[in-house]
Amino acid sequence: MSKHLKVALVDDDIPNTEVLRDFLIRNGYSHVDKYHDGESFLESLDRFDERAVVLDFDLSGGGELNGLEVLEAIKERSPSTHVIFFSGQDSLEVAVESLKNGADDYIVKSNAAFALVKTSLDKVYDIQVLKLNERRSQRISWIMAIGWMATIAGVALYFAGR
Amino acid sequence: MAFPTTTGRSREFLNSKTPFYGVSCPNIAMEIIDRLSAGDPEKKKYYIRLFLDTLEPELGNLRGADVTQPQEPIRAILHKLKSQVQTIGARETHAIMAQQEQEIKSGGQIDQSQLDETCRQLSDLIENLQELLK
Repeated sequence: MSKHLKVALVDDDIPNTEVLRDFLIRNGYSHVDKYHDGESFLESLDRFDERAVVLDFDLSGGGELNGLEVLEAIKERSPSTHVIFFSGQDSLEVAVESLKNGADDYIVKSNAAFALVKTSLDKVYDIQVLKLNERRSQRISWIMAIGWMATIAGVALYFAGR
Repeated sequence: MAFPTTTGRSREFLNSKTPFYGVSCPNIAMEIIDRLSAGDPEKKKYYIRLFLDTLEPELGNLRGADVTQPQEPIRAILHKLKSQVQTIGARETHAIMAQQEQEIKSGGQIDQSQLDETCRQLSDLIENLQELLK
């Protein structure tokens, strides 16, 4: 089943990013962008970016910014964007820092890491679906309320006119 | 269990029931690549070429590294290659690289023989990958 969640992979590791992208596409994520440095990703970031970002910590092979700096910039510009930290650093400090700065998850690169990224993205997707359904039901409630008020007003006018 | 290794040394290593002391060879088990390529040999070759494009030049950089100088550049290469080696499934090489990266990160240093061992493992791994392309 195709999932309507756009994903951005930000990692300077070119072959692994390509493999992860194919893995996610195979698992239903049809729209997966790749960026090999934080700077080019931030240039593409919108105010209400709906993409989920899978972000590496050590981006030294690509640009100047590291993953924590990119995370900070994402949260400043588009606070609702979901960020999954995906790092080769098995470091408690980096993990705590990223979660404190608003990352949704922290995954250490390992043999099972691709599957863990997918599981984490599935959670983000479920949250987005829930939010979408909530917005839809709110919209329906408003339309129904307006309909009821119009009916009541119509009935009141009818009786007032008699 | 089938291993996608084709060199004589690899076969000897994989077929031996006892640990293969003296000459170790990167034991590659490309589960992720195999699963993704789903039996498509061309796709598998495409992934292997992708990894070789990074591994070969970085092996050259590691060989040219000077262990008597600050080792941050060596750590950066080890960090970069570690994840790739892991995806390919060369667990032994990954473990060595992770250990050396940690050593440098925690303020220590690796010596020339350790670096040579990593280069040898990487070189064997590249040789095995190139065999798979034939």
